[in-house]
Amino acid sequence: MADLDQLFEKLDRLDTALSWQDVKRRQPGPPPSDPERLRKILIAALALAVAAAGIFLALRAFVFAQGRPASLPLPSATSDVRPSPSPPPRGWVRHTDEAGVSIDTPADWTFNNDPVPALVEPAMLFAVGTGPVPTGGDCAPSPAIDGMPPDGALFVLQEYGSVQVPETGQHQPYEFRSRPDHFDLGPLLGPFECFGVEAHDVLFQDGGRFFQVFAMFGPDAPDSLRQEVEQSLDTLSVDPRPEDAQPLAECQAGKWTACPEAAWVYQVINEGQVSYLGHRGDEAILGIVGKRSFAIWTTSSLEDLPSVGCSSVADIRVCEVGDRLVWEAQGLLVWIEPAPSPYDSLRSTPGLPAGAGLERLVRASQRVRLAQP
Amino acid sequence: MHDARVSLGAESDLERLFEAEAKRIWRGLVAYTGDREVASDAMAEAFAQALARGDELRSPQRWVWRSAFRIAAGELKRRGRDQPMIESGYEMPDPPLDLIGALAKLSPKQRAALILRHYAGYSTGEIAQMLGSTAATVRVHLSQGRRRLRRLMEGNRG
Repeated sequence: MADLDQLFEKLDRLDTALSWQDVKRRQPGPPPSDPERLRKILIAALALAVAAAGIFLALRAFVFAQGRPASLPLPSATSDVRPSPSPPPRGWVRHTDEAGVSIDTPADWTFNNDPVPALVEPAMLFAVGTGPVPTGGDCAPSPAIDGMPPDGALFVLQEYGSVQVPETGQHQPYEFRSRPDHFDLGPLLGPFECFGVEAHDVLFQDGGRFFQVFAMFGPDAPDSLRQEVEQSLDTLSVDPRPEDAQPLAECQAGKWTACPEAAWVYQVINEGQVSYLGHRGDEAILGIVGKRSFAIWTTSSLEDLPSVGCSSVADIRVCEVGDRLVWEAQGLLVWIEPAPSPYDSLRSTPGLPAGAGLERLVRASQRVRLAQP
Repeated sequence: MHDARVSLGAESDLERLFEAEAKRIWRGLVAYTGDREVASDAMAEAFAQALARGDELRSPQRWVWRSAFRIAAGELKRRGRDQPMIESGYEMPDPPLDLIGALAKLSPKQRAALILRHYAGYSTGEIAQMLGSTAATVRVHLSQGRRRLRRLMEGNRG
């Protein structure tokens, strides 16, 4: 498609004067409407009407006509509740998805093991809601989101099967932190493109598989509901990939970006408010502070820090080695060196972070725990 | 294409994104709408909304592209035309009017998908998220749009 890329380059001939001050002075209007969303709502409403009519006709045929209650089958969404080898908490039930993932939830919550069949990558393994969780939507469980009770919650588990494939996989292995002992949903983010609402977003890897949780709450949901959702996520159990297909195997083969240390560095730069610029080969993650772009990576801390050229940053000894900086954190040596940004459009120069930027990074490296696989 | 993940909440980071991306977004919007005024307005509004959201945005770059296109689409609809109006009289030599004219003959979704893919450099998955569609649907828009655009451009040359 190089011919089309070249053709579109002609647009670069267009020019105009743009002013950031104009943007700052502007009073933003209401958020842009999503025409697809309205269409989806209408389709969902129509589907509900058809379903309601169908249920009414079925009831009339089997219940009222025979004068006795019919034994209606359970909806398929809850039909795969299985007895558990180690029982879930009292009043909770265990649901097992075909993809080898199980989760415990309160018995009165709804589990749907194929909420968005149209979504192929990432696959949405299941959705759990305190209210109804109807199937449907293009890339998010739109009917379930629209129907979420004001005091309710809805969360979904997605699995990425094509991490590292540039065309479809938008994520790298290191963006998925190791599964925590206890889930913390973190801050409310978004609104997300597909979901159209704000949500808590947690990326994690478990058993060599890459997952993402989106959790949404109604405006009147009590704080205790968030704790229940986190408690439910803590019960997630994942069938692991074969060992030789896990990222750890790639890490052992020398690919640093597949190592848990890279996932830790990714967390550190996010905590340290460093803008993420991708990675350099298999060896380092790229970041930018101000206009200075740099590479960051780790080595084991078997070597000692140099005895000269060191200064204290956030009470940690940070040393200069050539044009690099190095310090110790979580039993590792953290290295940074100037590196060019991969984005031509970003005005930056290779350089080391300094002052408050460096301090944030060093502090974050002490704060974020390195999870062992 | 990765978003340069802008440090959350900082106005200066959005300003940097504006410096780096605003012209490309504006040009993409001109190609989409055929109207510089609509393009300027949609782009400024998208950045103003991003500014108002502060720390909430996870991928400001993608968010601004998507919002700007939605705002522009809304404006075209409000004016009663899904097809762009082709402006003449650009004050520059050899403006890409042939390309903008050919794009105007595509459906809005084909047009948006082609611009986001071939000018902005987004992947089909990202475009699907931006347009509220699926990757499979975007691939169809791209395939049909490419075929039609090539035919139209060849017609222009002939």
